[in-house]
Amino acid sequence: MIDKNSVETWQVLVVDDEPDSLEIVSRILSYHGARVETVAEGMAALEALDRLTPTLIIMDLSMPDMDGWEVLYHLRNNPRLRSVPMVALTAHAMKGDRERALDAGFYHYLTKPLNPLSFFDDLLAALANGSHASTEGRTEIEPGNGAQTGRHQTL
Amino acid sequence: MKSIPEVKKDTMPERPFLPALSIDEELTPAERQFQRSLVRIIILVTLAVTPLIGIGYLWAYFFVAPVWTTLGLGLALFGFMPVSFYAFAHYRRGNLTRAVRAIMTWMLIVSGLITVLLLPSLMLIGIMVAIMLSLMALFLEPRRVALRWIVLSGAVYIAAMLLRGFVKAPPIQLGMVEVAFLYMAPLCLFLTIAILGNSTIEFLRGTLRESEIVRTQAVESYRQAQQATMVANEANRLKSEFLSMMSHELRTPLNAIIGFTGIMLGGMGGKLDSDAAHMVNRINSNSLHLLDLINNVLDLAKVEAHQFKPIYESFSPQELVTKQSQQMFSLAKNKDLEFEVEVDPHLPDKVIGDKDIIQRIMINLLSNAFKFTETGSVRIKAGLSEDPNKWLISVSDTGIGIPPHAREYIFDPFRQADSSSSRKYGGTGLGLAIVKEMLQEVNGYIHVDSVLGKGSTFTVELPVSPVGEAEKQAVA
Repeated sequence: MIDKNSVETWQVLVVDDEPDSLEIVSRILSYHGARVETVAEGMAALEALDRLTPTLIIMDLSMPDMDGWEVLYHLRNNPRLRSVPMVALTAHAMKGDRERALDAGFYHYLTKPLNPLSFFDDLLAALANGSHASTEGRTEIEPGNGAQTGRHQTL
Repeated sequence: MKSIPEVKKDTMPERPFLPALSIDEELTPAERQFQRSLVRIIILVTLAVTPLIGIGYLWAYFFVAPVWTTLGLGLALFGFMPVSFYAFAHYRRGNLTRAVRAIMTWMLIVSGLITVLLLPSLMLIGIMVAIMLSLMALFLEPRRVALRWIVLSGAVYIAAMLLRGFVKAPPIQLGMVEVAFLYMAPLCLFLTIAILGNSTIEFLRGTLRESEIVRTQAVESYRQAQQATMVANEANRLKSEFLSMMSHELRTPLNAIIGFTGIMLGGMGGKLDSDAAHMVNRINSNSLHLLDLINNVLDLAKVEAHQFKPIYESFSPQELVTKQSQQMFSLAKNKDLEFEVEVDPHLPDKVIGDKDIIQRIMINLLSNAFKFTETGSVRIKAGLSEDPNKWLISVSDTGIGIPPHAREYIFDPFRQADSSSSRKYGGTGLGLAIVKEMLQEVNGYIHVDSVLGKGSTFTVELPVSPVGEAEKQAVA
């Protein structure tokens, strides 16, 4: 059960190629008591996932070498990791991105800049709501199709 | 060489007398086409007619009167077949000059033969042939050559007349004057017709030339316009790419600043004494303002570069306005203002438009309304317009109002009504600029009503169904 009381038991994997962003998320989570492991790229994330089964993964979608979509794909195809909630984090905010991410199997969708004051509560609320996307019967995602163009609008 | 009166004054000595159908290099493709058709007709007619006449004469020889002249003529005409194939071959090879000259040579020979051999009553045929030959020369050959042909045909005619005596052909009961007249009269008649025809053709030729020039110019203009469009589109595309790249580069460090200051302010970065907290707060606040500016500036640039293509869909105006207003209730609560949302029930159930653009317009107008109102109320109303093809959204407030002279420039980027108001009220001065540009993209209008100190009303008019666009892009 992922809730406020179990924070101490959390093992969160944070994946982001921007060191500042990594540190910010990491600090907020550590402050609240969670254990955080950080990696800076997709390959490293997969390696880490071979070693451990995290409680939660927070993933930046726009990394250079392997993007968050690919990692999600690997995740979904691994029975051990399939039920680990994955939260998407992104600096871009294009129309339709949020829906696409949730449809593809991400649990929650956050845009940068994060609001440090509300981030943790936001996260709890999203996790408590239950799965936004079950792993069955959803669009099968393929690596590399994440960055498809929607409308280029920033609201 | 005696000069025959010039039919047409011309600077080019090599041009035919009647240049309308001349075989010269100066023809435009259209004229050349015309000329080739004409030559083709001449050749084909000759090819068709000659054997027929030949058969006629042979038949006359065998079945009417076995006069040797008839036989001779029949055979001569048949003998023309190789000549006409020769002419045709040259025509096919594009050598019009040779083709036509072959035919004209044949006509010369035949006219001579007929004049020599035939019964006087049929002599006219010879004359006709000679005249046709002269006309062809006038049309088709350069001047000096034409003169030669005409002189030659006259000489052949005279020689043929004289030869009649030697061949013991039936004598002509006419004097020389009458004979000359027989030649000249039809020649002049046909010459007149030819000149008239020539003028017509010259005129047509001129028109053809003109229309070709116009056509070429039109094609060129079109090509240039296409090129200009391509260049402009490319420029817009590059601008948009630059904007997205810049947007990411600018936001990344700013996000870090906002994040870290937020952590410190949230007490998650260790203890902060009140002085430090105050300063960190200033940093955080300014960073958020900067982010706001960046977002708005880049949005404005995008709209101006027409990279914000409207995507039309069908939606309920009531739903959109109500939902969007609900999201902004907190702004009203923060300032203790009344917030009314009024939706006219007579609004159509569905309209067609770009939801995001309309949403953005509402957000900007409402933000402004809340920003510039200290006490009182803000009201948003969605309703019908006097024009049945339009609907309205109006945002009114009891705020500081806008002085009349400012109405011109409040829609300019970075302008607020009062230059000091940005410090007092915050804001980027871009909200209305963005609204204005977006409205242009969707063919909408905005109207301002305001009394300084009392309040303002901004009314936006939108099309119910953009003509044509809906069919192109409607997303169900």
